[in-house]
Amino acid sequence: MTAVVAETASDMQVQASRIVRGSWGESLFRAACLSAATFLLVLLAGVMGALLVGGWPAFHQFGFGFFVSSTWDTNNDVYGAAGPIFGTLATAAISLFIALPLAIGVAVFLVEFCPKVLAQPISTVIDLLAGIPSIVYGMWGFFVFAPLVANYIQTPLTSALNPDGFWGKFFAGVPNGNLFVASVVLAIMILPYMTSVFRELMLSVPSAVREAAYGLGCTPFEVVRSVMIPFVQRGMIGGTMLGLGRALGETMAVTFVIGNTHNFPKGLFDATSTIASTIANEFAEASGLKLASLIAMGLILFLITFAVLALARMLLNSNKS
Amino acid sequence: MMSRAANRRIANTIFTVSCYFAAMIAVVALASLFVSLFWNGFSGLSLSTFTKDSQQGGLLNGILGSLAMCALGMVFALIIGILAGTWLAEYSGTSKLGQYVRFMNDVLLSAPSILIGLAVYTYFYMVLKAAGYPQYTYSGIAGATALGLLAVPIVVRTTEDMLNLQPSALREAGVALGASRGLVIRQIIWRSARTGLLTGGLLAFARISGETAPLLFTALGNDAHITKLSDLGDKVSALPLLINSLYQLPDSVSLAWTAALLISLAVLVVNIIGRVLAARGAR
Amino acid sequence: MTETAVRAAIDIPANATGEEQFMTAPPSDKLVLETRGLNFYYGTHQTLFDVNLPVEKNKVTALIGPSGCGKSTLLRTLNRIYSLYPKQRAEGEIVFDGSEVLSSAMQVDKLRERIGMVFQKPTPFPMSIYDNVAFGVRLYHKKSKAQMDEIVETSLRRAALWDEVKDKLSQLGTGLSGGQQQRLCVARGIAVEPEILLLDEPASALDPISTAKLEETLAQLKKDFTIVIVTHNLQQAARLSDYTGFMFLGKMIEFGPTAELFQSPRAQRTRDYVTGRFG
Repeated sequence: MTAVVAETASDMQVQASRIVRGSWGESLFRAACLSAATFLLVLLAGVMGALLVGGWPAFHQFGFGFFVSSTWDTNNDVYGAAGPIFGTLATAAISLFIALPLAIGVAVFLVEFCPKVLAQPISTVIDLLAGIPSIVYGMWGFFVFAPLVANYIQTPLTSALNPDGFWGKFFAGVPNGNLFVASVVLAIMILPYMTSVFRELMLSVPSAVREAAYGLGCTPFEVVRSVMIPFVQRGMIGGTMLGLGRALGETMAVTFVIGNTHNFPKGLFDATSTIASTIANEFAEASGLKLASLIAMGLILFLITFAVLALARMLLNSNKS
Repeated sequence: MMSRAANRRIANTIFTVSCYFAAMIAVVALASLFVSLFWNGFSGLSLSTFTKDSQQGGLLNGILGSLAMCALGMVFALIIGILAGTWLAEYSGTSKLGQYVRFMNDVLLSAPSILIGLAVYTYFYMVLKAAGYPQYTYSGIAGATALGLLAVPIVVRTTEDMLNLQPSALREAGVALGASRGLVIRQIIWRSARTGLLTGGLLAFARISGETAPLLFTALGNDAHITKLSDLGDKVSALPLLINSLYQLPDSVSLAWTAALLISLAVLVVNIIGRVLAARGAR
Repeated sequence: MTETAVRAAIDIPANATGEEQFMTAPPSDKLVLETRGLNFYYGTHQTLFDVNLPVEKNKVTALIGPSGCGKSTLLRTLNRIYSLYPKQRAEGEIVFDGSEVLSSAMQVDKLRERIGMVFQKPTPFPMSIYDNVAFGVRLYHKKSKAQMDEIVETSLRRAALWDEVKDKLSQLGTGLSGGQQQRLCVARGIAVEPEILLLDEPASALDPISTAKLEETLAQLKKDFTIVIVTHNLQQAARLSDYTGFMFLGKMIEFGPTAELFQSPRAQRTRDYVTGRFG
């Protein structure tokens, strides 16, 4: 039987009525803190509410068709969000497809293979890069990466493939602003963040466990695959979902390099748009029903992101228990 | 027929090579970003960058606008964020409300910034239209509001984490002398955690200084730089906005890169200061 | 033998395991604080059973016992510091100066002005040495600078810290060594002139030299304060205290004048503990 004395602050509770002197000051302070906390709830509700109110005319006018139609006709005032919705999901999925293995690879490299002298500086640099604003990635994508892809990937591909064949159509498209470039730029953007998370997760594996695995004669591959990743897999899933959340909502890195048409992309290198890029591009001249459509799309994006975050939270929480 | 050992060796080699390869790709891509940013950014840098506005080849309007809106937004975020984080760490216990607030905070933390901007725009428009002044919808105040709302969740998170790190013995010592909880928090716990709280503020500042999307619907941009506080009631420029408007004009590409460099440097410096402070505070 | 002692000797409360308790309490008119039948619960888990603790004025009372015996828990009921934690509660009687400490009518802040506490881990506040000592006083009184200077000096002198810090009163309290920090906490606690000072293993985090200094300080403080000290160091209890209570598994097994308890303990378990058979 132990006398439990040390508790965390969260177990404490004030008994305001017992304290006579300065009791109103005490209640005031506590009320201020509580109001600030409740404000967060209000804030979230407020954001959703604003999007709902602003976007309602579009939902009302187009109904379910808003979700499946990719028409974007300014003259006749008919709008559909299907193109941007697809673009959002596609760019996020492709970028994750690229970034996830890269992030794992870099994290494993830093933890297992990199000379200790280099590992810390490189990790610090990666952590700092995670803070670079996305518009910088957009600039890099537009001025450096997109031309590279156009010259060294697209041109050879289009000249080598039959334009009427399946692969010819799949790899046809436009230079400088397309699905592929946007997805890769997005992947490079979320890479530092995910690498940081994965690296810290791997470092959190107790060294005793790692050493035991090596002591049994496991190769690094086996240690990582059979011991470390299972140890932290919930955390990795959570980190991945957070990366996904970022990819879904990213605006500037994508807007510069996605081409900004409203259609479904016909191939990997075709121009398209995401919800965020459409809103960013069209807002300035939008009004009336068009504006409402943009805001309605924003609500859809919010719901998608919310769902991903809720899922991540559920997975992370079950990791703890 | 290959032996089991040989199979394992091959698998390991493939894996190792892949990891090196991944690291190389990452390094090449990020280095390319770094190099193009610094090379292009520095070549456009000159004295006029800091003295002239964007129409004259400088960035003064963007610099001042960004500084003003970020500062104003941070004031708002620090007040709300520290109070809310304090409630979570000191008063919420294991209550359901605390759990909801934490979850909502996480959602806000990862919510697309463009949507926050859109929501702020909607409210400003609706309120000002009802009041009869719809022309003031776009303003530095709106921009600062959007940035502040983006910063709040970061401050809440770091405040709660930092306060939870404070030893409970410190609280007990204050209470044992007869001080009320609020007094203990304000005079002892906040003071004890001040390095961590400052770091949280710096991180939040770094994050919002690079944000573009929310400003597209609030501050909108301005060719002139702000000269007095009341100018914030009007449209205001910001560095990220300038990048967005300049990058496609052939004459201004260099300026756009310079703006990108300035933002990146600011973010890096603030982050580094934050890390140094955190490391010192941990001692 | 006073009536209380006789009563205590005869009315041996049979507790859950049927162990006998041996109490040689001080005369009741000399008591400043007393617990009677104190029970303590952490949630549904009971950690103190029917504890009687008499505390004589201007004497040092020590609480000893193996880890987990409840001595710290008992100490923390006396100034109701446990009430910070909703899961913890106490039942029974704690009588201090005629009032019932556990009743809801008791104003805890006023209680803590009169019963101070020093903790196991030194807890200097993140402010200057001067402000540390003045902190408690400022809660209750408005003093002029001259008056406060005097209080700070007196407290630091009593805590045997004045000579070491008199030239750096404006420096942060957290910059002192461990032993100095603990004496600072003592100075802070006595600055409000409490009637009782509670100390929860105050030297366990200190090196032997700092411990010796702290013990010297406590021996001096006895003149003006009543002291209750929890310690796992038997020699310390024997050196410092006038009365000692031995606890085991949440019960007060034996209580009496220190010399008697150490030299001729009456309970078998006490004998085993003080001779080092277990601990």
